[in-house]
Amino acid sequence: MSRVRVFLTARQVAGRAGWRGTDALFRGAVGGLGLVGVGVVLHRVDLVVIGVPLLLATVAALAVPVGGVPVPRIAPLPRSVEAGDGARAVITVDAGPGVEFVAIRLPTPGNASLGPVQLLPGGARTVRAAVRWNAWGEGVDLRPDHLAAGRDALLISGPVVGVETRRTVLPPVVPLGPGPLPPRVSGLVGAHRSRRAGDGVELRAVRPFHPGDRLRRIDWRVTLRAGAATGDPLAVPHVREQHAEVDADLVLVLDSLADVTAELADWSTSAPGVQVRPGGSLDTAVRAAASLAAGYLRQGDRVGLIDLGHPQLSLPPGIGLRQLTRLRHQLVACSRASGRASRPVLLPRQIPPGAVVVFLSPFLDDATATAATTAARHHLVIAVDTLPTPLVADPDTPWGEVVRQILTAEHHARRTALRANGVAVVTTPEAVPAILRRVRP
Amino acid sequence: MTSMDVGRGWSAWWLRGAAGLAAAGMLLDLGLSGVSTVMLAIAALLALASVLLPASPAPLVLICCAALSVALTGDDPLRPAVLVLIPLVHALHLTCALAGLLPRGARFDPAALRPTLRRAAGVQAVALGLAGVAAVLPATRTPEPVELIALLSIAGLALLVITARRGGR
Repeated sequence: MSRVRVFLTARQVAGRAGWRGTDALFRGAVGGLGLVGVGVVLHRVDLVVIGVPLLLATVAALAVPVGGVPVPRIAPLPRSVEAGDGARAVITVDAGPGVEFVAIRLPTPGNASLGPVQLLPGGARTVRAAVRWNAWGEGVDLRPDHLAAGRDALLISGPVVGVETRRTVLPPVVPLGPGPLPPRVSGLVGAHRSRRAGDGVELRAVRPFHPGDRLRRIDWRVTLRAGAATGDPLAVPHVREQHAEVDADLVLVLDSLADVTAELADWSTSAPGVQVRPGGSLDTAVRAAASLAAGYLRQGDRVGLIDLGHPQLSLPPGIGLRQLTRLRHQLVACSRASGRASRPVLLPRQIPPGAVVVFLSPFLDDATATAATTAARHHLVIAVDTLPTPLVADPDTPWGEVVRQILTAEHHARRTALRANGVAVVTTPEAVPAILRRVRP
Repeated sequence: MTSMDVGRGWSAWWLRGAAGLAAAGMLLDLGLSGVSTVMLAIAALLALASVLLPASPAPLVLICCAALSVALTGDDPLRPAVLVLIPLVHALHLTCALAGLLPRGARFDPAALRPTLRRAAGVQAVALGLAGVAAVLPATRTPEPVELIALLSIAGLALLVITARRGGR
């Protein structure tokens, strides 16, 4: 049976390849010829003059050969773009002189989808269409389904489904004022002052010389002043000691287990046509993660990413602009796989020693809250609550309000438990630097 | 035309609207010609089908029904009801051909229709010119040999269409 279906499908596809006549050709030829023929046979001039335009139009349309089948080609666009960017897609159509119409599916201004099919003149060799990427994520933005038609649409070729072009739209970065991070217990370079003595520029202490101290660290002014006090000018040399400067680690923990909006009625359904619900918990978390990462990477800190639902998608801490780009791509990958994991996974070895952990989660289950409190035993943990508030009850069920109250109460209890276990809970990423400034040792 | 920017365009419903106008004009012509109510009802159904399903046999059936009905209801072959039907039939044919190309939600650039409209105007000029020539010709019965030649000419035209269609492929 399947072979028969394959054969029929292949035959149908083969029949659609190349040029073929339409109903209009049949109408023009049969209708025109029939009316003229019947008119001549019945000696009715009125039938002849009614049929003549159809016949003449058909002959005039078929007089010019349509040539080869035109195939639209899209000039390549960047593989990854910023949210809010736009570009002009250039499509080249190589149509013959007999091709009078080309119908292509192209995006139009103000249309977020692949766009409608546009009937364009066949003489257009280059077609430019404005593409705008407003929502971050990965998806298809161009698919030039096309159809070519000859004069009066008597002959057509297609429709052919175009080749999809996928693009990654990186999450936007909102400028945040980065706060100081607690430095790592180890390391020799970085932007943060360590409690240890080292080779930084900030004065830590002035103390008597010990064996092993470098001679260039001797503060001769203090040494002479101390010697003057004791009567022996060079008895006890004093050295200036500086703080060490080390880097700091920030680990962003993304909860991709759930993507919810304020409307409880939408929680059990998937959003049509989008990977991530706009304004939902995952959208908020990803935007916050990108902004926090950009802020701290800009000041030279190391930032990593952990996906609670998919540990394999985690990114170890790194520095620099390349790490920011990698991290934003990884955020898109995490959101693409959102909702597929059943429970959060956070292994202790995923978090470097001394790192600050920022949890970005709506805290809809106890397991996520437990993971945060467990991490708080060894690290400074800040929880950014991404649950949209206030929740809106499902109006279609009599239990909607009760469900909303239970969920709100559970969520409140989880936040209280987090605070009781030393986890600072904030609702916006802008509050994270302030918390860090307060707890900095 | 070598390059163009895609704008918002016009909705493809305008093409169906134009087909509907042409069909409505044909219905009005039939009504004024004194066609029977049953025939008028059938034509109305065909007109509706032509607008909703332009890539179907409905427009052809409507054209044939209208032409035969008008021809059978009067003696003068070039009366106003027939002359009005000439551009209406052509308009219905073209608008249904174009509307049948486009899926739901499609749009069109008005510039794309210019060559078709230009050619249609030429065809209409020729057709109405033929009607004018027919008006001045004598209305006596044509000798059988001339009729035979006319029939052979129609067959030749049919062969020309078939040959051109194969050449187009």
